[in-house]
Amino acid sequence: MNTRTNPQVYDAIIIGGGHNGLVTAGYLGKAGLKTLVIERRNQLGGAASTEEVFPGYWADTGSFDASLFLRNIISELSLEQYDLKMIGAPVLAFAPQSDSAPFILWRDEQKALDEINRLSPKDATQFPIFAKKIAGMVGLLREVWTLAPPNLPEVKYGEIFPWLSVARKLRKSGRREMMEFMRVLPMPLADYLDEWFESPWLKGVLGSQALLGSFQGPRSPGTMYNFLHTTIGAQVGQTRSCQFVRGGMGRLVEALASAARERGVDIRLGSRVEKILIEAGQALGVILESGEILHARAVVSSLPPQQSFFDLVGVENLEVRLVRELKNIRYQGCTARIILGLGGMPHFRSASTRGSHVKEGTLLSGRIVVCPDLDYLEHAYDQAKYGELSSQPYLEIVLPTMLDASLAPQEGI
Amino acid sequence: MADPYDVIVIGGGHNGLVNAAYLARAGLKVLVLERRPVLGGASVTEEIFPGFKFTVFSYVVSLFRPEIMRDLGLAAHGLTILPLESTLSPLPNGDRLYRDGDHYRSTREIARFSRRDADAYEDYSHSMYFMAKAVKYILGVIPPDPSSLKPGDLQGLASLVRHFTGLDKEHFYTLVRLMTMSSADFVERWFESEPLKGTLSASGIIGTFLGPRSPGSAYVLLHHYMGEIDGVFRAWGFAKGGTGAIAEAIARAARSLGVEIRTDAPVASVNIRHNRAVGVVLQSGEQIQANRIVSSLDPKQTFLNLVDPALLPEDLVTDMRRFTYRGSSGKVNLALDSVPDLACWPGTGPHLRGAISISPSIDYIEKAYDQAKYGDFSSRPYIDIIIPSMIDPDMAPPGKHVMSCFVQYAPYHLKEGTWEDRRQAFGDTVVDTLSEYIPNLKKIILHRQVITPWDIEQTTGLTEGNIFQGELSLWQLFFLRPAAGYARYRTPIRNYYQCGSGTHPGGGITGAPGRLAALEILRELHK
Repeated sequence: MNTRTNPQVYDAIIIGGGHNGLVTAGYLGKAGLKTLVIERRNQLGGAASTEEVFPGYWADTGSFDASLFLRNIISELSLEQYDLKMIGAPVLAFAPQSDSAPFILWRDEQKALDEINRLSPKDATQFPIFAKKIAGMVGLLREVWTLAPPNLPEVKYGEIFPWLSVARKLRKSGRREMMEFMRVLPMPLADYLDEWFESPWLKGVLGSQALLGSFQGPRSPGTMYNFLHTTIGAQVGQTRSCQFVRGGMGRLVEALASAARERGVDIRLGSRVEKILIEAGQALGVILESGEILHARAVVSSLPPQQSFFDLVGVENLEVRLVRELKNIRYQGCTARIILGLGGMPHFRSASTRGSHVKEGTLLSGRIVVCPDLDYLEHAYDQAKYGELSSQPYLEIVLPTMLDASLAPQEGI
Repeated sequence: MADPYDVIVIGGGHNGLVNAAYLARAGLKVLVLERRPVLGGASVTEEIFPGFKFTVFSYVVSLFRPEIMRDLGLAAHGLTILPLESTLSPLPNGDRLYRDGDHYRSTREIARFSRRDADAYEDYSHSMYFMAKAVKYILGVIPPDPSSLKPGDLQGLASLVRHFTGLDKEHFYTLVRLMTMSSADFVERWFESEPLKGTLSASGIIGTFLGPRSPGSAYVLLHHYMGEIDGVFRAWGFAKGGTGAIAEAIARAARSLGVEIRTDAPVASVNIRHNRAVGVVLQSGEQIQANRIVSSLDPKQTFLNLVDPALLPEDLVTDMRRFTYRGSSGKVNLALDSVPDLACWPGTGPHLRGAISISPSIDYIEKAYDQAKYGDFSSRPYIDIIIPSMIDPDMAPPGKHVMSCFVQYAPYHLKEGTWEDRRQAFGDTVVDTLSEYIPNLKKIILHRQVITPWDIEQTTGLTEGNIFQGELSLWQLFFLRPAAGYARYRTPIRNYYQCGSGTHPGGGITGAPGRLAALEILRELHK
């Protein structure tokens, strides 16, 4: 290897230019640290990018919904100054059904209740109470999201201190609510939704969002945590959110990159970090694939644990126990994506039966959910457990061009 | 009229009897009322066919608390526990995995399937032994209420935190995993060979409506590792005379302490005056007064049937209505003309004195669960077999045998038909499954008793036939069992208490809820 050492010493080097790497860079740059971001690809964003998949058709190749992106980051890094605009779809979910009219979960509360009332008046009565309960629990969870986890069981006072405020909030939420939070977290979402609702369609729409990306079924205990996790972006009174970024997810990353650059952060594309430079158990910088060595006082990896530790640090630098722990981390990807460039508007067989007073484009502006009930989802999971493709998979479809025409040629969708 | 009783205990199962004995030991005048003609609840031995004694609902014992054995002198009252020394897992291809108390031999046997598993086995056994010991502490603790600021609760919480943060890092993390993981994931962290993984992970599903791949089942696995017999940790045993002998020994101990026991005395309701329990009304109309009433029945019976729910706080009634039972297991008891002949191990041998587990792989059990999820019994179920007459010859006539088969899954809620219609089909499925491993079985069956969850409910009163008086799931454990705020054996009605498996620490023939409830009542009385 032909090594060259760059004389400059950075305060921090961040490996990976995905959204988390860029957020870290933004905060470090804001604090005045000389920071460098190194990205392997010629494009930033990692799993949050927008690419021209077919000529004239721009699509999010990874994540497409930005609703979980924390609001306080947008304000703390002033991302709106960099042309970041979120678009909320008027329809949160459009659920086509095989032989009847689709079920639509509207963002507007009254419209949502009217629609649920069509399925079950009892569920419509329950829904606002349910949404309020969920909002309360999500509020507690949101607190948890803004803190770094303490290192149990060897607790240090400094690490535990910020958590005391969460404990206080938990207690202030009331005894009943506190116990309820602890009861609900480990539950299967199917059981919890059964406690509230009777309509299979409503439960299908509510439950499916939570399992996106996790190798579990709605009857798996612990999936209520996933439900709350995916509800974090929702406003009070709603149980899901649907926020697209105008111009595609790549725009969020561009805004993050601009915000970071403006705070003095350097970004290098097309450079792969080969190894972390380690001496006496301390990271001193990184070695690039080209052989170039860059020095830094701190090195931050935004890659998955397996790569951060095994590829970059190397097993020889790790404790045996940590190696075993890392090998046991489960990844188990279980989703796939199909991107279609369409020549016109798709027509759902059942959508037209909803009358002509609502434009079809509006109905299809949010997530289109193919999951008629929770058993459908559970059956799809059953097959995956034994290593097969689901013969009737859960589908979540978005048509980003419904709200943002700039993503496709004029005649296309 | 005779003096009113200090305490009436409703239900003569093992927990009710333990509770009564502890209260009487402190000098209280106690009456136990049992609905059936026999004592024991789900822990009974009955001679269903002449000469053949069946442990009708339950089968093994290990979780029974040793301090209760000592405190009540149960050995002196005739309780003998015979060790079950081995586990045999027959495989569909005629092979087998046999493990017994000889660690070296077991390791060699495992090595036939995987060298790596044989190496990990010792480590695993040590780790589980340690974990079970650490968690066993919880079995003897009255759950503190984490939402309360009372000094007693805070102190209880603090000592819990101290106990668990006192563990070293490695054990602490293993514990957190055990509380949340699936039993399949947990055993897959250690092992790779299917027969071993299948049989070990099966302990995580017993009595629950979970599959080995459902998160939370690792806790149930641990729960079954907490057995202790005569100070020997992690041992399974069989009570001489069947599980009914346990109830009988406790009853003898209780009577010797002055407890009065009435069978055939079903209680219709608890008498409540000014929010205070003052006695019970029997179904016969007879009224019996007492200063305190303890229910050993499950939470649904205790809160929704024995008392008028209108007298209870709305939150509690909500919690009780959504408490899940979902019995998932059944039993098939067989009277056999001779020794069963296993394809993997013909003739007699030490394996017939241990447990025989039909659990060839994790997927086998998970597929059995898949069918139950949609309301059907498993066409190839998980079966845990013991042959009591091989351990205790008094259980069957000479030369003949009884075979106890615990079967999972048999969901209480069937999608099609009723259990009365499908009981025999279920029995046939079990016998067909067994015949794949025991070729001579059909020829030697003299009698067959099939117990479905519906039968368990009909006979013992256990709601939805759940053998644990409510699912052992994380959201129904410890300070949430049976409901937030009511985990300390009390109820909102003064002088009305609970002491069944529906309270902490839950099901299994442990006697622990009965004992802890008695201690809590005595503490209140300053005795």
